[in-house]
Amino acid sequence: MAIETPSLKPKSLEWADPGFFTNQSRARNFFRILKQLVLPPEGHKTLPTPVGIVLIALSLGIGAAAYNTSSNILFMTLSLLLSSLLLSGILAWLNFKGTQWRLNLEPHFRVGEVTPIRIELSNHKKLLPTYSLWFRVKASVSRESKRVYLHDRLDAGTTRELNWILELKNRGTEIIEVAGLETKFPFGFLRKVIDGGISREVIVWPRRIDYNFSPKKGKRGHQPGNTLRKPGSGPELINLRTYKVGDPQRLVHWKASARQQRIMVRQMSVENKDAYLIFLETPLSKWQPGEQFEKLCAFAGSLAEDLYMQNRLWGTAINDEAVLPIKRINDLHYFLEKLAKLQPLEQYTPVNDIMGATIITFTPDNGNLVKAHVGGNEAGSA
Amino acid sequence: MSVATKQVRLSYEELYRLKWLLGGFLSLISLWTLLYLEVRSGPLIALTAVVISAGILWPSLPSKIPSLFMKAAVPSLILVIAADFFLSSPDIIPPLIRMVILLVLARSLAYRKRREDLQLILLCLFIVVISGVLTLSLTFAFQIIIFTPCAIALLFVINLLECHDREQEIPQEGLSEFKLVHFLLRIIKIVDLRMVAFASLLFIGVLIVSSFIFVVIPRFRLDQAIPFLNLKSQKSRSGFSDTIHFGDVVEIIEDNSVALRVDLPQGVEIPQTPYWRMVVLDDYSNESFRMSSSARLKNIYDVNNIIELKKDSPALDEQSDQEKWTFYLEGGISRYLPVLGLFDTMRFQTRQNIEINRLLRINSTKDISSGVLFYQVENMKLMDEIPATWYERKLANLKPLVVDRSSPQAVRTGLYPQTTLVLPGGGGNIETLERIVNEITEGNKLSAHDFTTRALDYLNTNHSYDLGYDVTGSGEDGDVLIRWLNSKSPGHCELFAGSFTLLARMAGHPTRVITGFKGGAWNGYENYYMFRNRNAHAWCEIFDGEGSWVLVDPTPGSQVSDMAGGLTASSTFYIDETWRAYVDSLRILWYRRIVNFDKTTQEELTSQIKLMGTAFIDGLQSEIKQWLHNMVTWFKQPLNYEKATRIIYLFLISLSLFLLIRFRSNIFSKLSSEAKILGFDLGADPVRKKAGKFVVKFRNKQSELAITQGNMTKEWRDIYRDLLCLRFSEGHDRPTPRIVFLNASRLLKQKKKELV
Repeated sequence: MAIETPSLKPKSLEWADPGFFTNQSRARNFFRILKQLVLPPEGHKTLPTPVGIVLIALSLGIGAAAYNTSSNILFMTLSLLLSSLLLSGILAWLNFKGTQWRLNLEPHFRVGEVTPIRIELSNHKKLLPTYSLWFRVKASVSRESKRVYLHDRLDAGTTRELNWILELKNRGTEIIEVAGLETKFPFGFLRKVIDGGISREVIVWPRRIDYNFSPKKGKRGHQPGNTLRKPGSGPELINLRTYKVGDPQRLVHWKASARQQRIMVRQMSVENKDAYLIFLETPLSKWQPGEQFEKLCAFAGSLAEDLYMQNRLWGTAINDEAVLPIKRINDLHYFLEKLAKLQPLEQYTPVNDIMGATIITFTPDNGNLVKAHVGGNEAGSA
Repeated sequence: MSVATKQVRLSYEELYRLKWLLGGFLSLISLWTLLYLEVRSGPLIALTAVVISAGILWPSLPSKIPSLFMKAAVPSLILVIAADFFLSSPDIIPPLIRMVILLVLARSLAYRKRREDLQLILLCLFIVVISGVLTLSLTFAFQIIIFTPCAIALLFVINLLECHDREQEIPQEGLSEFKLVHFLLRIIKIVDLRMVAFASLLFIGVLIVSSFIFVVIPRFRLDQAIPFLNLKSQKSRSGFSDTIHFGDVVEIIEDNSVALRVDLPQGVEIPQTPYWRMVVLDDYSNESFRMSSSARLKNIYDVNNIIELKKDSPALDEQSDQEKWTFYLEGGISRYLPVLGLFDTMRFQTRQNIEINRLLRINSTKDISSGVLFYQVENMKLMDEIPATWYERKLANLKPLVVDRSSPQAVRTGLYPQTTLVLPGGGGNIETLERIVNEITEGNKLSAHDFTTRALDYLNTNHSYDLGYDVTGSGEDGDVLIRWLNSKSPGHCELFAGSFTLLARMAGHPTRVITGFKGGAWNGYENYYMFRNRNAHAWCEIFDGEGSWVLVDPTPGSQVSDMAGGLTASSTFYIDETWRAYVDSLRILWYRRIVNFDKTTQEELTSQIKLMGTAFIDGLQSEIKQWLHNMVTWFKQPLNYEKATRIIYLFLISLSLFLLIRFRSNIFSKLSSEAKILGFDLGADPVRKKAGKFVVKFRNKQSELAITQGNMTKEWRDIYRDLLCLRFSEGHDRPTPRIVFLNASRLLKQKKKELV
């Protein structure tokens, strides 16, 4: 009887927390927390909300009336208001205590594709739930931001994902930042802000576009027999990777698993002899920054992906950089990342050592059209 | 999310219902506080309470109100409020409170969003606080203790709703299906007792912290630099105004509520039957005793027309050994302040407009207080004789003055003190009085003392005491007092006092009627005097011709009924230790500890704490010194076997303790490894061990019940995954062991039952 064995989570170093407790002794932590309650540390702010301002004004008014009339009823009311304010601060602190959060991003971002930005929020308290807080999440380069709310209670010992669905519009580098964790818990008098503490740089690939690509059949390039090996079910071992659900048990590499304290499986190869090389040259004289250039990047990326899936992509080259053989999916992703950052070059010396019938090159055409050529012959366009 | 910690939670509609409920309760609590306030708004309060209660039971009601009504409500409210202020001016507080009640009513008639909820809380807080300030009632303490958690809970729910994605929506459908009992049962079902306990602890913490703040907050007097509004009571309880009609005092004699409380100074013997003078009524006309205008006006007011006796005035502060009597006069009783006799100083907690009548030796406030009035009297003397002023001494040469107001040529009453000799003319009054006086004196001229003795005998012989009275005839047959004297009817204290006054005046002795409190009971719980309204009494003061007004109580059954005895200091008195007295003692504690807490009390408390602390430290120091001394003495003794043994033992024990503490972690790990060699496992994580046992049980159960991945329930899978995490994983993402083990046990038992 097979029982699903859950994957063991690796130790995560990405969790952020409010920074209330450090590895110091309990006594030191206690005094540090007391100090923090009075003087918030850097990145922590406590600001009164409009309701809080009304409460402060009310307290001042009642205090003035109490002193004016020497009425102990008013002093009593003032004392209750002040202690409620204090309780509010303590509960807000307790609400944050024991929470941890981390940013879980998709491995790849792409222009025009909706991508969830996931914040995993965990409550490590033993009894108290966490309520009513939100994250300010920003995509700095795109200048987009959103408040991601914890709508319901997060019980003690539980974890929840909060999502922000983001569609990025520009390729390149994007910084996803959890700018702050805020709450008005419990009564809405004070807004406590804690520095989110997480910032991740992501590469946004060019968008996928529709194109047509129909190279002529005929002689191969003058380098016949280009072989391409990619992961498959062949006999040769090319890689060890972590176990994914669905992998057959026979591929498990037990020694590696014991060494690494996690389940590792073998990755075998398969060969293919029909492959292309995508070669991009982007001198400023040929390509101007703009829509056409973006289309070039999108076309090259989409074509590279499709060829890879068909096992027909041998390698890629960009300008005067070395040829990048595409053997594994990571190589393709690397190419796409380079495409994400690609810009027209002001000074470019054409390379002459990349040639052949299976080389795909690109040229601009009228009306933002981009044409693809194989061995000098037009093979497609987008 | 792990099944282990999943809890039921309220939906958005349920939270909204809870918010609605809490808002209603808050409003009802605030209306409750208004019941102790005299603002002439009973019907409005009742209407608002009914509307709010209906809203609580049927939250769908506001949706049935036509929108046109709500639109018309705002301008109508403005008009009504403006008219109320205009008609009630210059009184501001009653229309202000009515305005707030109307606003609360308006808020209760419509579904509220966040801003309106906060407005409701502010309005209710205003009502509660203003009622507390004006009434100083003990119930305020309970009301604010109930109000505070309700308000806090409401703010909490508002905050939860704010973060909801449906924040601005009003779930009208959910409210239309609302049933209060079902909803409360639902709340009870899902509530976590641990959270309730935690919340209760927090609230107790709030009370403790607020008490601490209340005690330490610095006090200093501004003496109402900005005048504070006072709520005036509309009328006093009958019998304690400056005009008394027959029956006024008797009206409140059946009232058992406490009217006056008195804290006695230490060392003072409690009088056996204290008479607390409040009002002096010298003039008699139209069958009523009143304070004559001349007695009220002449030499009564201070030059500035208002006399204020402030606390903390420099001259008085120097005299720290004064005997201080503290009075707590309930609101609405009277503006006249009861005292036993002459005194040195009268102090008030706050600025007061006081009227001191030096002629009649009575004191009053300008208005009847609606709340409790506190004042302190220093060096008050227990007196059965009030010294006459120089102005009154000429009474010795005056004759009775007959005033017949029915005559067109009515003689003017005259000025005080001659009013103390006024007799009612016409209708045979004088003839009747003469006859009775002759009967009493047998034609002789008696001194005031002798006349009093005989007159009291006469009255006690011919009349008995009864709260009711039946006097036949009408005004044409003579004055009511004269008719009563002529009859054998029983009577109450006013009749006896009034009759004696007339008889004494007829005999040529100036006499006046006094009203106030007599007797009272001693509260055995908190040691103070309590006077209930039924202790109201009327008696007389007769001028003895030598410069004193002597207290005479002609009512049968009074302990002081002759001039010779007078007031005597005695330790016999009635001690009240009933449950009513206990409840009242709570009130006096409230007044003493909370309402009267001031800078002086703060300083006393500080010095007490300081004394206690000093005493504790001194005691500790002396104990330590004594111990050290004993140790030194013991060490100085010559060494013998026993002493040497003890020293060695002490040394060894100290050394062992030191080594154990210093190397505890090393020792433990050494022991663990040795134990492991022997087959014992001391150092294994008990949580992992237990989780491992549960994993084995789960696997066995899975084999037994042929549970596969396909037919495994989600609950089973989740708990099994949690167990594996507890057994193998490290780091912060382990679920809570206790809850996982509880759920695992429960599930195994459940499966076992299924198997059976």
